[in-house]
Amino acid sequence: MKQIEVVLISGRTAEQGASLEVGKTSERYFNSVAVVELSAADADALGLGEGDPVEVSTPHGSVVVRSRRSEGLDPGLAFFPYGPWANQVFGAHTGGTGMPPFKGVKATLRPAKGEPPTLRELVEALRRESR
Amino acid sequence: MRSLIVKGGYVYDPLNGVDGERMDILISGGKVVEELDEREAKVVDASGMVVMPGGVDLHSHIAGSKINIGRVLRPEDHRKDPVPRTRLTRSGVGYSCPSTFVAGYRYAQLGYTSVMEAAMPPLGARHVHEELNDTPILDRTAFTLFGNNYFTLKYVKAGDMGMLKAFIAWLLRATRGYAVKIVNPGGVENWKWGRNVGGLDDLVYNFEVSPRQIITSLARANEELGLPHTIHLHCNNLGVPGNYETTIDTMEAVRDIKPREGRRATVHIVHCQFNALDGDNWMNVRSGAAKIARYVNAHSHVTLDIGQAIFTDTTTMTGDGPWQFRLHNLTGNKWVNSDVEMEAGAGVVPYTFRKNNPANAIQWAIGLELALLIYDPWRVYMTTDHPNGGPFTFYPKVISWLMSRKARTETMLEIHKACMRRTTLAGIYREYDFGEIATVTRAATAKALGLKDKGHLGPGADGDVSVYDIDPTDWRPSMYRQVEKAFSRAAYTIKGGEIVVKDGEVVAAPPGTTIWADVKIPEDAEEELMRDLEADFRSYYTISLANYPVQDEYLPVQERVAVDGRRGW
Amino acid sequence: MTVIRDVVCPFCGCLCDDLEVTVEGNKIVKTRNTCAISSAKYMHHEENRITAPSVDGREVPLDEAVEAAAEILASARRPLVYGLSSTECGAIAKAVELAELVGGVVDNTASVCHGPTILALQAVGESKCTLGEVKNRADLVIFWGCNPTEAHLRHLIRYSGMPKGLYTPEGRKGRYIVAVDVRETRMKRLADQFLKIEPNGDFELLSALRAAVREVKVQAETVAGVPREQIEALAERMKRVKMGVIFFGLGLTQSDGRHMNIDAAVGLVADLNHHTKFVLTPMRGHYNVAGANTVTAWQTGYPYAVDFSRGYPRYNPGEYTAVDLLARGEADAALIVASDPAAHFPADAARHLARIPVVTLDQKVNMTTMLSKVVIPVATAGVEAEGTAYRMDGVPIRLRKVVEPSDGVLPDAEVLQMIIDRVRALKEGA
Repeated sequence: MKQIEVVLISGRTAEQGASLEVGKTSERYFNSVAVVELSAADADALGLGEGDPVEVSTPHGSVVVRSRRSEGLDPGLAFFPYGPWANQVFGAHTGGTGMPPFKGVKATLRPAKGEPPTLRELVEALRRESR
Repeated sequence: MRSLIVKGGYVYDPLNGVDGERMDILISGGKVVEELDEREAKVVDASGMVVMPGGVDLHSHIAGSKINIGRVLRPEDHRKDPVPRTRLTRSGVGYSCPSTFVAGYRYAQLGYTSVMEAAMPPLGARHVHEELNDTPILDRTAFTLFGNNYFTLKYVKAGDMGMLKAFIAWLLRATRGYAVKIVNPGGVENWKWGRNVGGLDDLVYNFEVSPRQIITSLARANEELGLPHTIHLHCNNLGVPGNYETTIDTMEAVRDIKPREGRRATVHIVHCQFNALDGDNWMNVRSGAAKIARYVNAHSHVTLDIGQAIFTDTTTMTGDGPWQFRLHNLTGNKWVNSDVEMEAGAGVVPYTFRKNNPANAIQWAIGLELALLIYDPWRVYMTTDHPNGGPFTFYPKVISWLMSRKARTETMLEIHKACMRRTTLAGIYREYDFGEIATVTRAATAKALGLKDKGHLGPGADGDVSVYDIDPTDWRPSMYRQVEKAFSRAAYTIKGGEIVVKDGEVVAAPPGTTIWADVKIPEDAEEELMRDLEADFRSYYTISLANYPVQDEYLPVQERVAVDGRRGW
Repeated sequence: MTVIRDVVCPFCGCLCDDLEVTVEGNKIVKTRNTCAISSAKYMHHEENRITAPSVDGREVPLDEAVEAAAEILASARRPLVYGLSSTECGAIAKAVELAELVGGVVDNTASVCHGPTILALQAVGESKCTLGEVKNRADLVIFWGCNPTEAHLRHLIRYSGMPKGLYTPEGRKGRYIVAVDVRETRMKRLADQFLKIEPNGDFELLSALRAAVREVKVQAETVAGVPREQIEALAERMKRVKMGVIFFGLGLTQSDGRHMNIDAAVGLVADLNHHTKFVLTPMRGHYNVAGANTVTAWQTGYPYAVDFSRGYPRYNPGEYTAVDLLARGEADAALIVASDPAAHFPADAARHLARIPVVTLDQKVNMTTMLSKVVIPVATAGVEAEGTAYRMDGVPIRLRKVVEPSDGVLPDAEVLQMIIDRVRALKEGA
């Protein structure tokens, strides 16, 4: 199974901002946030076509999102728009600062099948895991 | 609200010539009255106690951006003094950067009923008013910063007195301010390039005007407009050994300004202790208070407040950006700087006044020297420049030093000998009496501020009264600890005819009133000003002129003091 | 049709106040001077709205929802009040009052945004200015770990890049812009110099710059991937300009080192003040997160992570911050105002919101509302309600109301007051 190690950064994008103002249940939000950006070299290494599903994993969790190529990223660096899909893989350990590690976190990327979970499916998952 | 009779206390009401007479104070409808229906009134038994008008603090930093920066900066200060909530009062924190609710309660517990926020940056005026609205009980004003404002500098450079006056009137209304505040004129503008001014005749970059020109222009404009208070001035060179000369030069610079009708003063010098240093450097620094006092005694156009230093850990916060950077470098303490576009600046640095530090010992002496060497208590007022010299909760201690040589001596013996060798304090025998204390903490300050209904207990005055549990007929200066205790916890504080403090505890917390100066000017002057403002706001500010003035919503309880500025035009 | 001018945008910390909104009847039909995000907010503000209060997913009258909310909060042992950065100051003040009343914790989104900046300020301070000072004087502007082209869309146009100000008549041409980031964003094209830094290398690079400013020789060939020559050249430039500013964002606050990264930046700027005028300014994300800190600080003394369980305010980031309270499973009830922690907190913390009763006041459906026991729709501040907001640089501006909210939808300050009144009654009755 092909997989690569990357350093993950999350952050805001204009599209993420605009689409959340439309509504987080909107398709526009889903399309702009349930994605992970990676370099062309890494996408090729994983055999991913543009938009193909990819699984992002850390010791804290994993999630399937659509992949997107980005010119600005070096191989080994991946960008995850700020939102609930990214938060499936970031941990909550703040080291006494109140701030979880949202940037500079090691993750594994693997090609995946299927669609990213919808917002409602993420809510169901939180409910399930809370029991 | 029921009427009140404050019965049988020893009343000190210097503005009405009452000096310890046993009498009743009658309050009805929130005002002092000559007679009322005794059957309906509640009696407050003040027998054996001192009765004064509610305290009027004319210079304190309690509301606004730099105060809040101080709060955020200093969680360690708060942890010393947490304040739990009660059924009636909100929780908070005290000490040198009190939260707003606590500031209101504590001032009231000391018997104060009016406090003046000493420095309001216009762009942050909304912030000042929001914090004042969360400061219970106290009536208040805020002084608008003018001394480094782009428009001030522009009109001073052009020599355009008409536009300067129009601007003062407009900005006071836009900020709901009460007086013209000036901080290190010219220096704070130069600090925006990392520089300062070193004296009255240095020049401000790009404007090529001097602090002397700024001060005299604003003083003249202030008096011609007939504003209720004089200019309120933090001199150049604060904290620099040898600066007493700048202070005297500053006072001299406004000597020939014609004061408005009804007063002799043309300038109020703030926290003069910090500007009364003699010597050349921190090694040979000594007190310049005697020289300042000599000048003030000989010239009736000056009033000042002392800015007394207290031996404690406190927080300095002023609009004097370059001075705060200097203090950061002197101490190594954490430093926040905040420059406000087009208008002003500020800085915050924690500071500890230490007993074994010779400079601090001298500074402590200077504040008291000023109060004791200046003969006229109507012109020298008691402050600590809260929190710069120390928290206002130390006012009772300052009162005890003023009233008792023994109290002073006891402190002098605990601190560095420099206070004996390099100041005149040890040789001063004068002791304030209760009437003089009433003068320098309420009567004179209210008069200097032009607040006609404050600071006295004649008919028509606001029903603001403080009662202290101390018998003046059975008191001697050696009993200074009693004074400190009594003034720390008012037996009663009455605000607007309502008892708000009883036995040092808050029993009611009504909102205070924000008083501001509404200055009328000729219409054509206003129109000309607006054209100028519209152009410059668009070009240089980052807020639109339409969004700039403070809206009515920020003054839920307000009092407009109408000033007709057209007479001197 | 009415054109409302000088409208204040309620999205990001830029708090642009030059918007124009055209309203027909009670509908927004057009906007001018808005960025893409702001335009989306105004033009789509009616979509995906929660239309009525609900308890357990059932629509109920407002009074019933308020009662249910009050019961949850009054009976909780460790209630958390959180959010607050996307609403106006009156609501924030009410939230603090409510947290005090129920002996709970009040925290705001700064804890996952610029909380570390506040921690650094509390340790070493900060030298800053309002945005007009940048517009009027700055000839060197450094963007460190932030991307205004995606998060603060008009920042460069209004404040930091293009404007011609009092002493910057050349506008963009008179400014040297540097961007420091781990990846090439659109800032690379906009900036005069782009420094690519290794992830988690900010503390080292800032320290190396500081050393260079102090003329201490940097030994390493590269620091955090940046060659020594570039570091020395930048330090020289920083000392020689008339006024420099560093705008910094989550790249510093969220990477390894957290508050120590900002500590290093503050120290660098303080050292530069011995050579010239230099300041730094955090790029606050939400339009009123600065207001949330400001109001909380003046009322309690502390800017966020405030605990009232002993009847007086206590402060301890890491203990009273929302992510920690939820991740440790410590909160037993939550009131969420104007925020979506179920989506924006790591799942390990968000999960706890599914275990405890949650009351949410918000405009639109989101993950937190889906998990909440009580949901109360509220008016959108800056669109349907007035109030104060504090810009990223601390300047307070009054938000305008351009349209009426739907029937029965009140501003959150009013709803919070209703909850406060009910909680007080419940506590007195008990």
